[in-house]
Amino acid sequence: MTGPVAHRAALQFQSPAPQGSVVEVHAIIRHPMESGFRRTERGELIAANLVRRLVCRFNGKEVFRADLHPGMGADPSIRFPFRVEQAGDMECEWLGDQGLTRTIKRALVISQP
Amino acid sequence: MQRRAFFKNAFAVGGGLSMWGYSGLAALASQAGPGRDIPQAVLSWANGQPLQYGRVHLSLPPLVENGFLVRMSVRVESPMTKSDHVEELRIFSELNPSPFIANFFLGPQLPEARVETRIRLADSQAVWAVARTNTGDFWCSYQQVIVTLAACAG
Repeated sequence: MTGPVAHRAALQFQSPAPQGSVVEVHAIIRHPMESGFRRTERGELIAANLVRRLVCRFNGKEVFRADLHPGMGADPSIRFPFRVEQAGDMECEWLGDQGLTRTIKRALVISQP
Repeated sequence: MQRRAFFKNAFAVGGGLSMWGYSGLAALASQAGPGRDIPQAVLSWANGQPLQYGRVHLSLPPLVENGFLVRMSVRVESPMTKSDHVEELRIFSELNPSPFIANFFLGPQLPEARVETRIRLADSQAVWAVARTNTGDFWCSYQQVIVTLAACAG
């Protein structure tokens, strides 16, 4: 394989959302998560190719981080709750093997009552 | 049965006692929970700190047809305030080629300690979730899952 592959990724949560409410943040990336334990038909080990980390920052401050290991399923999908206190940007950064870095940014807007 | 489980754990952990010293003994005493051997990976993370059963709620299907993608939800009972919150939540497998599934770093910013994701299971086994609070307490729980078509990829 030559050069980093572009992986499709998505970041979803309710926005606009009322102040004080809890939104469900859903981060997902398309990736095979090759574990490094599988073999080819000729018995050769297939090299590991994993997404190793997800970092979520809100207005630049880290709010959630996940270190991913071979036990994660393909196309890693992670959901976590987040309390809406102020408007800002949610940024999710995926890091992994073969030079994978993929950042997705989405604005969180406070809805007016 | 409880006594039997205790001795079983005692033998399992015995090898590590010399290394852990007194704190190892404390960990041993706290294992008088459900009678199942705690995976080595969990013990090494706790590093001799007592592991307490409870507070962690794992939600996995009890029977899955395909181990390649298993939905998992973990929730930890915690007020998630600055003074009392879950800092780290780790998921372990008993029988995958690698015991590590994922480590989640939470913080008081989250309104509740809950994470949902999808994992791989190489065989029928128990999945363990272990939470470490900011005060250094370890809470753990496990759930048995039966897998009919195993993920060989672990």
